[in-house]
Amino acid sequence: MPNARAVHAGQKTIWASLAGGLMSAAFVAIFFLAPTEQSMGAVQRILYVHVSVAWLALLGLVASAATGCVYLLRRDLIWDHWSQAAAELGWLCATLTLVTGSLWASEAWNTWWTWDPRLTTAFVLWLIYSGYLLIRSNVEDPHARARVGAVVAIVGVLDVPLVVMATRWFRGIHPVAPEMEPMMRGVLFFSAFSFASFFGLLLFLRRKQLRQESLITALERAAARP
Amino acid sequence: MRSCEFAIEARRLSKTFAGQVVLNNIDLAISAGEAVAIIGPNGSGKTTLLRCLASLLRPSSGEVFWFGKAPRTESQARRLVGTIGHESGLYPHLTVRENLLFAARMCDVSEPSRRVAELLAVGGLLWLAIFFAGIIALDRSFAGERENGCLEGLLFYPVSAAAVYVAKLAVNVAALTCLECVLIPLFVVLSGTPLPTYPGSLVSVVLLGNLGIAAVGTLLSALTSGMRHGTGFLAILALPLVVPVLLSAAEATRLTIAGEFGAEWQRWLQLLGAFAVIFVTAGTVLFEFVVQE
Amino acid sequence: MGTAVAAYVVVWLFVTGFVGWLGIRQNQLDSRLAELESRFAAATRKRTAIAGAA
Repeated sequence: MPNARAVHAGQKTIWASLAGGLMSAAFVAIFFLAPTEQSMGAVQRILYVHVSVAWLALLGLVASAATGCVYLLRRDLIWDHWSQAAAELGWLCATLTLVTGSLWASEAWNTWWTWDPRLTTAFVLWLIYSGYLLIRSNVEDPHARARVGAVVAIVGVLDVPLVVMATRWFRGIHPVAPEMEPMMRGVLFFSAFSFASFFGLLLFLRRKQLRQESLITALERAAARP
Repeated sequence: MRSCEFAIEARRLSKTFAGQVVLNNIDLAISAGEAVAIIGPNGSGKTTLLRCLASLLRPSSGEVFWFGKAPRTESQARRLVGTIGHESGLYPHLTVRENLLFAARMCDVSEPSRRVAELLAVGGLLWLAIFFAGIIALDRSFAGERENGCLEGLLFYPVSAAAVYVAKLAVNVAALTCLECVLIPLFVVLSGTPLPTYPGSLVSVVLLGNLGIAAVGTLLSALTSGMRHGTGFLAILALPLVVPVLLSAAEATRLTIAGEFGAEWQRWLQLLGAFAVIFVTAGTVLFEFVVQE
Repeated sequence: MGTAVAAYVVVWLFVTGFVGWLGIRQNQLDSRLAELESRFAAATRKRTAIAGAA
């Protein structure tokens, strides 16, 4: 047993180092490699982080709904673990999207918040995530909880196209795909990739932890029986 | 030579106040359609410059031209450029709606009530009211079945669970419609919104909106009716999920009241219809997973 | 520049908080597992003692 644990810990260290290394490289790229934007100056650098986490926030709900769907078909709780982990990280990314967006807006628009369509639908996305996590915490039985989560995630994911297309369908002040220099585009994609790797690692770790928790709970229930 | 190319032009504009030079030989040329922002710290002379450009202040030297004409001397030229000052010009003791109506009537806008309703968020208010009142009805969808164990009986019926969902959905749509028969007249009276020119078009918007809200509400109600604090969860969860329906319905309603049935109205109606269809389909498919272990 | 740095710092705070929370959960799980292992060990000792006595 100890050997397997050591190997595992070794693997974890490698992945963690890789992810940490990528994030550090992204930090360097964002602050030192990317050219300074003409009209906004240094504040624009926030957007490399903001766009990266925003994409992940959308992806998180899609992943949660997809794995939830598989759970409903296969009834294997492992899929629910993926669904819950994806939703938790998606919630984190949605929160970060709103926070970094607000920080950027405080400089660019001189306000922390406005009910622009993109911001409103992004807030709606955050509400969906919060609702998902809240309602799950209210259900005890793992399978019932998995069913509830899957249904909510699947209905919730139907809103994702609305969030994405909000800037194109409605008038608002949120920027719509601005032109970017190749270097900026490169830093953006690298940043998105780094964040995706890092959060992907967290996803794997959290999923493992959820599985461990379900096993321990099952063992405890078995031990409690006289 | 005076040029007529520029909408606003300043040539060697200077202004001195009691020996203090505020503007020093400013040359400025702004073309029509251009947007220019003048920014600077307090006391840098922004307001002075703007007031000179607006012909409200006489420059110490230099000239200002609007489309080649001098606004200070030619009074007719002052029609060419509009100015908005520091004051908003609104009447604080009137509501926003009353202000807009007043201005509309002063400027001889045709159908002022209708135009004002178009601008105000009456659509959004109405649909939020429908949602919050409707969620109470939706929460009761499965209450009867839960209380006397009838849900299992329904599921034993030799029809698919989806049929139960569709039946519940139909009842809920009817309930929302009855609710609206009271709510909409009340809303019209209290908000002073004019009735739409073609009430029939409002019916289609309302029915589609009901369908969208009820589709999500019925599904979630089945999910939450067994839980403690189920009503709270239903409201919290349903609101963000039906936002696309509420948004499209609100915009479509606004345009219906304003009487504008152009491409924009069609687009909103299509979006509303699309989400209604999507949510009904999702509900029909997912319902059996909700009620069966 | 300050706001951009602030944004990055805030992101790291949230992420660190989340990772910290994961760590706390892991500690809880580890202690629950240790508890189970000790109960299992105690039961095994009991059973061995009973088997030995029989």
